[in-house]
Amino acid sequence: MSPDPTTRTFPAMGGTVDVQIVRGDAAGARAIEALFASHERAMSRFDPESELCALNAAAPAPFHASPLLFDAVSEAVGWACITEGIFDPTVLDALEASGYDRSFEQIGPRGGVAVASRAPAGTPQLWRQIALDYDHETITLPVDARIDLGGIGKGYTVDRAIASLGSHANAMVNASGDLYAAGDGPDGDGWYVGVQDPFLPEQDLVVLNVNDRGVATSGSSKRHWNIGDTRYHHLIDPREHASSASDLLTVTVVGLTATQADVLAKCAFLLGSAAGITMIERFDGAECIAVTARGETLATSGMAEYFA
Amino acid sequence: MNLKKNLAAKVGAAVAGIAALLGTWALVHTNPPPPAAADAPAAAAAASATPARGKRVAAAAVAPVTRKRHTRTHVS
Repeated sequence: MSPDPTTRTFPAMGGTVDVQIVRGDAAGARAIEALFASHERAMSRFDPESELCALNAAAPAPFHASPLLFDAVSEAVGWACITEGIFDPTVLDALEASGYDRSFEQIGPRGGVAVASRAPAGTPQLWRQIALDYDHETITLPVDARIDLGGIGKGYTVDRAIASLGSHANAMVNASGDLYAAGDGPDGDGWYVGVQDPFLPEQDLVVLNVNDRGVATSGSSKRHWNIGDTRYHHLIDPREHASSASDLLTVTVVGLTATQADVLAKCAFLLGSAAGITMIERFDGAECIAVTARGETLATSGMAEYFA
Repeated sequence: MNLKKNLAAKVGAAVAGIAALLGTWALVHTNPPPPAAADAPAAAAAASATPARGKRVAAAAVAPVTRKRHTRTHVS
């Protein structure tokens, strides 16, 4: 008889976080809740008192960041380098220009007020001009660059939450779809993760069996809104500075970390079915399954290993 | 006794031989031969002209064979 894991569910980062710790205690789960709260205070773009908002307001002056914010921004810039700017943490202006200028719960389906973006298509990638001083932990943003850590911040926090449990943890932390499953699961045969079917949200498209892997799903089916007759969603294509016109509906990535899974799922979505899946194939330890708007299901060559 | 043992061994060997021959026949007739050398460039050209895409997955291939679920991932 397998032991019931310690569980804790709490709201954070605009969604719900689910923690399960096998043979763990409530203190570990409470510490994870506190960690999410502290990360949200530092990295939220919706809280004017957050450290991220202070960083954005300081540009172009150097900003002395806390170790947490410095590390998170460093990781975001690192992923921008790795993906050659398909993941771009500086698209906040375009995101707000499309109407996503407050938390999604406040926007609702009618959306905000779309305004002209300050960064027209073809603008040089501003993330390349972010200066990180590792000796003094200062971040210098270029003029007109503001950072959004919305998606990557969740994956980043999930990874830190799992790390807080130690290297032999048998636990799962799921932050609204960005998750990491560590260890062998409650029954010793891994963690079973249902992947929501975008056409039938109450059903699972597939169930994944993973251990020591991050899983994340990106797509346009949840955070979208209309302004007039125009449909917008939150996945901004940095090449166009507008909501992506991807042929994909959702992409689910299994990766080495929750951060990697989150970033690669977003990038694959933005690149579309042809280039996106080819990109995922290039990353060791990453696989994906994607659903196109036409209803096709596509997967990378090694994804079937995770099908339960 | 020995004669019976020898006979059984010989019959067993004969059955094994026939099975091996049938197996070889099945392999040859169920796998297409490799493309002729002259076809290779055409096949390569066709492959490069086709956009690189992921493997299409049939619904049956992903249909869960277990009811076990510890959590779900969804669009965030």
